[in-house]
Amino acid sequence: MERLAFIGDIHGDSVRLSALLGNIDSRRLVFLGDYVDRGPNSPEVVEILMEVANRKTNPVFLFGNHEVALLAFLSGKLSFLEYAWMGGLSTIRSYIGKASEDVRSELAAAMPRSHREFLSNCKPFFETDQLVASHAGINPAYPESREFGEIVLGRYPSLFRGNFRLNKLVICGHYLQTTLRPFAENGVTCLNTGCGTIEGPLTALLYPEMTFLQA
Amino acid sequence: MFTADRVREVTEAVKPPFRALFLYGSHARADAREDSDVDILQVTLTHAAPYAVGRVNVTCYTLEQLLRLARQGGLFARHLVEEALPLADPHDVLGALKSAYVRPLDYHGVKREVCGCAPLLDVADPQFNENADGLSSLVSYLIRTYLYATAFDRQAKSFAMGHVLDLLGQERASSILSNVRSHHSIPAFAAARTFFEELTGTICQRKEGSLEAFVVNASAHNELAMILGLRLLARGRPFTYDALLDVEF
Repeated sequence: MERLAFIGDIHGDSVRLSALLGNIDSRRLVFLGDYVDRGPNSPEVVEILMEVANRKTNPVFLFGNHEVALLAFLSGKLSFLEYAWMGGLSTIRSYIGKASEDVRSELAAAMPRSHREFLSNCKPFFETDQLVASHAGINPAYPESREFGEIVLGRYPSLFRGNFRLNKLVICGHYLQTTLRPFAENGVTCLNTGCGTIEGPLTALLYPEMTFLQA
Repeated sequence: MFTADRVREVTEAVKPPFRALFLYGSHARADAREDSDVDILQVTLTHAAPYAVGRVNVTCYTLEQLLRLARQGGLFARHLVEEALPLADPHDVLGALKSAYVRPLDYHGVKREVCGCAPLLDVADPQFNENADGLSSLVSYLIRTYLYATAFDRQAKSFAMGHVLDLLGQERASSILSNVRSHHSIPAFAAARTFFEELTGTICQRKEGSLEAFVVNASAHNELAMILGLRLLARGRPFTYDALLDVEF
């Protein structure tokens, strides 16, 4: 069985990301999305992930709803207000420094093309015979569905009660665990422990050992 | 006097569900005038927008939000802790707020944040007409907050605006606030803005070429300016997470 490390929501906290990566042994990395927004240094996080993409063996980068929001804002599909409300102001600031007028254009000009391409190339989910990993988990009402709007942008708190029929482990981020500890019950493991949002740690799940690392 | 009939009338105006209901403001202090609005705090189970039913203004906060405000020692938390009257409070939310409340040493930080909001009032007449309600409410809120912060730094005894204005020698603010709140007109707004500049020693001028750019820059150091700026941009429209689901990729 392939040895994997799943990494939860990062939200612009490059310091915790570097620290966590330094503690993970040689294995395939699967990032669960939400690399940007809210935290202090989204550009540095993207730089680190791009370096991981170049140096590690076949890592997987999944979309989070915040990557989708950033790309949607850049392409004019999401308003400034909507993106700001989602925590995008810190990302905008960390790319452009001081804003002067047209925030969208200023962000588009300041953000390296490589960052935009990297985020655009994220995948919606990662699946094996034993598990499925995506940012928002699965829709308990349609556990076989891999619709983008469900597994990346959806919100299914009932998932945590395990009321779905899927003979696989579900691994997700997205749902903030205010205890700052990962959730692991009922066939669901959630790794969003508040990194970059409520000063929580960044969490990794080592698979198949099913042990956690935090930084 | 807030009679039992009045309590029932107000409680019926509130949209359920709620964890607790409080009366605050002039009716809670029993110094309301004939034309005073009734201010209600609805402690909600999830985030909810404020609303009004006739003369009843309902402000909505979750318990978690209120506890955070109490721990930060903000003016609204002080207002509740010192003056709110429970209309329905089966879980003793007020007791929890009183336990969590930390009174700040002074309100210099609040005044700094309010002064940092001055550029939000830099609007030309056509822009004012696009959002007359929002801008009128904003200038009124900023003036009142600055007055309260100054007054409590000078040992004010209550949130009664008459008492605050007496203490500060700012009686003329009463008519300015009354005008801007009831008329929502350019002259009333301009008079209130001038008063705000004199009161705070600031100039309502925005360096950035757009409100969006100001919000981005303010968000680095002034949470109040960021939130009020976003509310101005929203012009009363609620924002929902579902906006992202409507985007086609």
